[in-house]
Amino acid sequence: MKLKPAHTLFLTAIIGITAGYLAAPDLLPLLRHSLNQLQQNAGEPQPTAQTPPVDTPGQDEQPTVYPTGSDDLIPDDTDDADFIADDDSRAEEDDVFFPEPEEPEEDDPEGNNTTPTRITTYKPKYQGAENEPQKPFREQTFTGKLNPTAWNSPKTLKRNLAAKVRSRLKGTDQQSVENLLLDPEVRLMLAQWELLNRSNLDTLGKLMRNTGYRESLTPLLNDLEWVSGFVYDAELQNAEIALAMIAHFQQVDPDMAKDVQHEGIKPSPWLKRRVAGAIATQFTRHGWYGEDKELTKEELAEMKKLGYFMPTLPGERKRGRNKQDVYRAARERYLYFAESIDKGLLHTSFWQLPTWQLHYVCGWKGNSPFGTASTMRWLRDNCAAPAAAYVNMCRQVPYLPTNVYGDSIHSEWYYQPFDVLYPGNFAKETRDVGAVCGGLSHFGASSACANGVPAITMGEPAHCAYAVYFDGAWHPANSLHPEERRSPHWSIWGETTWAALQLQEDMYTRGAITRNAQMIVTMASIMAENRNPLSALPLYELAVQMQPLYKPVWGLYLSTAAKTLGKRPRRWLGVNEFVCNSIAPQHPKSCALLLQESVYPGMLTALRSPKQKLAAYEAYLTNLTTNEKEQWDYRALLTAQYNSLGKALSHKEHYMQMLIDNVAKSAEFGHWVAWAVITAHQENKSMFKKVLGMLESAVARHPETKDAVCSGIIRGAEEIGDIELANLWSTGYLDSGKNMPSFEPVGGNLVSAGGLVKLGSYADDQSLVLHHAAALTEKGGSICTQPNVQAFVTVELPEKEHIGGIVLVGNGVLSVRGYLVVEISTDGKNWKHLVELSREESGKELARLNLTRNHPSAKFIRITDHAVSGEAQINLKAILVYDNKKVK
Amino acid sequence: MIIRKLSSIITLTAALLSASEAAQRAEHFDEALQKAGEDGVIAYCYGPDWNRRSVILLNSFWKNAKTEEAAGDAVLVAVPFYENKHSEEAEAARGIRGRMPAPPFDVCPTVMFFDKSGRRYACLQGADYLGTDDACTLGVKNIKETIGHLRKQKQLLDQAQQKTGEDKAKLLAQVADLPIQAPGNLLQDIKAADPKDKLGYARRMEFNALMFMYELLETKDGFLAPDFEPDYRKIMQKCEAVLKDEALRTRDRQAAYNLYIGQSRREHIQGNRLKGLIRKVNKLDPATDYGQLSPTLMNLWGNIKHKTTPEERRAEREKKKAKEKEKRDKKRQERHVEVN
Repeated sequence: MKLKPAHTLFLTAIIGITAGYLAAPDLLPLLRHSLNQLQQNAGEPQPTAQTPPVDTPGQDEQPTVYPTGSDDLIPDDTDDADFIADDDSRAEEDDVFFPEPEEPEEDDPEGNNTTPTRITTYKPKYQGAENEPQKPFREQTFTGKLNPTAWNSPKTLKRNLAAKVRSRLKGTDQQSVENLLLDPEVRLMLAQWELLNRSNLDTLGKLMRNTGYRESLTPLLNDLEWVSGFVYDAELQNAEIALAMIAHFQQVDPDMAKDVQHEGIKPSPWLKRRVAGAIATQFTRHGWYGEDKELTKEELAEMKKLGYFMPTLPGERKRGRNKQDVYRAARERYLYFAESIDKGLLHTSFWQLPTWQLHYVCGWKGNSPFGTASTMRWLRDNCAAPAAAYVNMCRQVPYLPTNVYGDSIHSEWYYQPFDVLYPGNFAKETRDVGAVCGGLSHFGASSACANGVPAITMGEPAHCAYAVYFDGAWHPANSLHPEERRSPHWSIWGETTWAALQLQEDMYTRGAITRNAQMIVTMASIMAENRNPLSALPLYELAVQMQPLYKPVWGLYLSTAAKTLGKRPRRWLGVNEFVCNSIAPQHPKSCALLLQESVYPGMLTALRSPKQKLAAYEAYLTNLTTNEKEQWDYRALLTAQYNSLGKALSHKEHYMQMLIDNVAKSAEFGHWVAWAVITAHQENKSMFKKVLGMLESAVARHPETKDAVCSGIIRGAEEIGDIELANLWSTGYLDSGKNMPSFEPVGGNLVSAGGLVKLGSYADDQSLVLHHAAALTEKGGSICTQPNVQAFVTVELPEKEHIGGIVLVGNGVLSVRGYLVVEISTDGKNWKHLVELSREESGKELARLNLTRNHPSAKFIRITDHAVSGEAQINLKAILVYDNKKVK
Repeated sequence: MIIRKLSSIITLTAALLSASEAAQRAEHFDEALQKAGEDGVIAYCYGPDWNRRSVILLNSFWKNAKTEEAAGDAVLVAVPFYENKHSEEAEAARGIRGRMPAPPFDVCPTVMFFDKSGRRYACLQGADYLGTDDACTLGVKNIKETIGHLRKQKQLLDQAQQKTGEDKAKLLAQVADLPIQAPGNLLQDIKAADPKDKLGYARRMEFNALMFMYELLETKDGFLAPDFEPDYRKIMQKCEAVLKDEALRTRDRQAAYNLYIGQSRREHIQGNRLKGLIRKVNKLDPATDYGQLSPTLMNLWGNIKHKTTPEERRAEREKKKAKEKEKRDKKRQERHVEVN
């Protein structure tokens, strides 16, 4: 019989329990609880005794109520049944203050009435729809019959649309809502209502009362595909101004509505209108102005002559810019793409881009000199390449920090003399004059966008890189750092992290479902606006079930949910579990942020028992499968969870066990172990000992992740200054086999072996920690900090010694970008300057410091890298300290 | 008189002969190479599945009679570059490309020039070199010129083979000045012909204005040390010497002299004195980009009013330098550690 993954998990858990019991019998209850979780996840029927209490009605008949804030009074032997302690009497009281119009049925077997405790994985009605980004609604054109004059009074229109949607909504269960969404007319009404909701209605009214504008915009506003793309495919702000811009685009390009056909290119309906929407959305959202400062009087007169209606962008006056300038910049951008589409000059893949990607291409960085129409035109005509080749396009630009006049790239003079030779063409100027990372990356990204390929510039520590989208993924270019240190310069949804780009990607690959979820959120907003906000709750729940990665809805859902959840522990646990199950496996950071911002504040006041809190935290920890590469403060989350457990050590031990069990399963969470070591050390000796025991047992159970756990323990030991512990766990890694150069020792006997390394910052590669101890021996190891962050290393010797000499061995060179400074100390606090290596000395692989003349006394040696230019970073193979005694 | 007439007849005949030249076409690059005569092979790279414009140009420009005419007796071949490398068409195109090397950048449209041995000697990429019109008028002109350069190159190399010593070096230097890549190692040949570099052609080829600047600014990568103070006198002397060195290319001399101009501005030299330096660059050759920049520079920098005179600035800098030296000396004295 072929085993299903669920069965495999179940068997693994049983084996784990047996092994765990043999290793640590006192952990059995916890392991049993883990098994329950697994069973629950696998959808197996659960034996009554092991049924997770959070989902079991009836078990809260005899609640154990603890006084608020008395966690330390809770007996340690409280059994699992206490997890479910809920205060029904309090819940009844809550109902008075938090009426629930859509009160879900707790025992509804079908789960039609969703509640936070009953949220399950969403099963789409349309088979295969989750894998087909565009179906079932795309390519089904639908034109509404809304009378154009209805737009003259946006407020009335908004009210009427809401009333119509409400009248058609028969229920808030999945079936009713999805059936409703099959009606294109309803979909159009929802998109139109959302557009109105994102507009200043007074301004929009003024705009639409102009007959010319109304006539040019109405066909767009009545088209389902266009309106829904405009409203939902990127964050839309200042919608009325974006519409004014689109009307201007139509004035200068009367052929906007025509779909151009090119031989060999699959036509894309409404392409220019979608491009117009993307440009207007991004320019109004960011307030991007053209490079050429303000409009001239003549240009202004020309625009007025055209009869442009140009509402002011919020905050515009603060920017001290002429308001019309943003319109001009956007119009130029539109005309560039319109011309390129008409002539078929863009990369052929452009014609097939979904609307959200058009935002990245057409709406990119309107404030950059690389984003002007003339520059983009030159890039289009001179840098047309296959999409993947844009990753290397930056190499056309020579890397020159100083120009031919000897002026630095950071001075105003670098480009200024050359501007006259390249009017309005900054890309060509950059290619001919030179640039550093920023110019190179902007050249690469803008050349891709100008040719219709999505690209984005991004910041890295002391560096600028970019990414190009092709083959269904973002590919980094001119990048020096791992993905966790990348931060895109802008985004079509507020968050500018690499992880957010990936999240968007995941979200849009299920495009049809995402769109439905977005429309359901609009439905919820309509309900919330008219009636009690709580009536929107089931709709929000349905939307988050459908597309948990659509982040904007979580805030709305949880803020609404908080009102109805009050202090009901079970429901909070249900919400918590749903958030964790939905997001944590792929996006642990986003999940942690959501929990900390929107779930924990309400949930922790509701949960009285530390065991309930443990159950909540377990939901997060058990879902950790892959760590998000992004640097994020996971320690803050773990500390918050740990501290919330009160003073009772048994719960904290329980938490530590849970954490270690879960993080030891994957090699990606080794550094989380360091947090456990440090926290246990801060707690007390007993806890520290127990945690070390748990870690030992975890290493025995998971030999495949041994290195990761060991690196965590060593790092923890280094941070708390425990020489013995660090050396104990480093013994297996002393023969790392580095290619050490041959050298004559200086001074007497080697005294650094068995010492302790402590870094100012730790490199992203956690495994390097394993080789710290070896770096204090003549075999050599690795000592590496993060680039540009606290570039120093401290070595604590096993004993205080009279130093006869120090040998430093670099990984290639001792300092790439500057020079090293060596200091010594007897107490680790007061430092004495020993020597500053010159740049020449630091540029060598090895330095022997002869201290035999003075043989200063020291227990600590600190080495700092000072960068003259670029990033400082310690990257050494060995730090060898010798005493001044006769060699034994 | 007779000689003059004869020479004009010969020229006319040569012109007629060259006009009657017609480029051949080949289906594959390797086939083109086999057919190639003295004018070598010209390949047109286009992207059938990603770049529509280069496909249009295939007919309007590449198959145009004017292009054939401009290409002399070179063999023309069109080579498709597919984005989807796994498609059937891409598989088939692999044979068309054969042994042809990749262009410097994967940009289309691209026209690459190969001599009959298959060595790439020139490349025209993008509208800057091919033009924006469908007939690529600029491209046709550039093809004609490039073929002309190849012929000239061959002629000079043939002549150089007959000569020795400085005469040979002179001819080889002319080859190096042509805007196409030369075969073999010209520098080595020039050095062999003129071992003492009496004519300065080896110096001319080896001179790199950027490296010259980096050396004076004591940097390897272009980033200046924060406490670095350039030696103005040294810069002045070196740049003046380069400007006068007629063995060097004009643009290189201008580029090197630009450092002196920039440093003078930083030294607070202003007004006519600075304008005089800028004028020197313009006078050398007003047609180069640096020559064209002169009027702008005179406006931008020539009219700057500095608050301190160059002398005051120099005194200030000397003071700072002395202070730093004192600090360094002190540190060195304090340094008890021997580093090796």
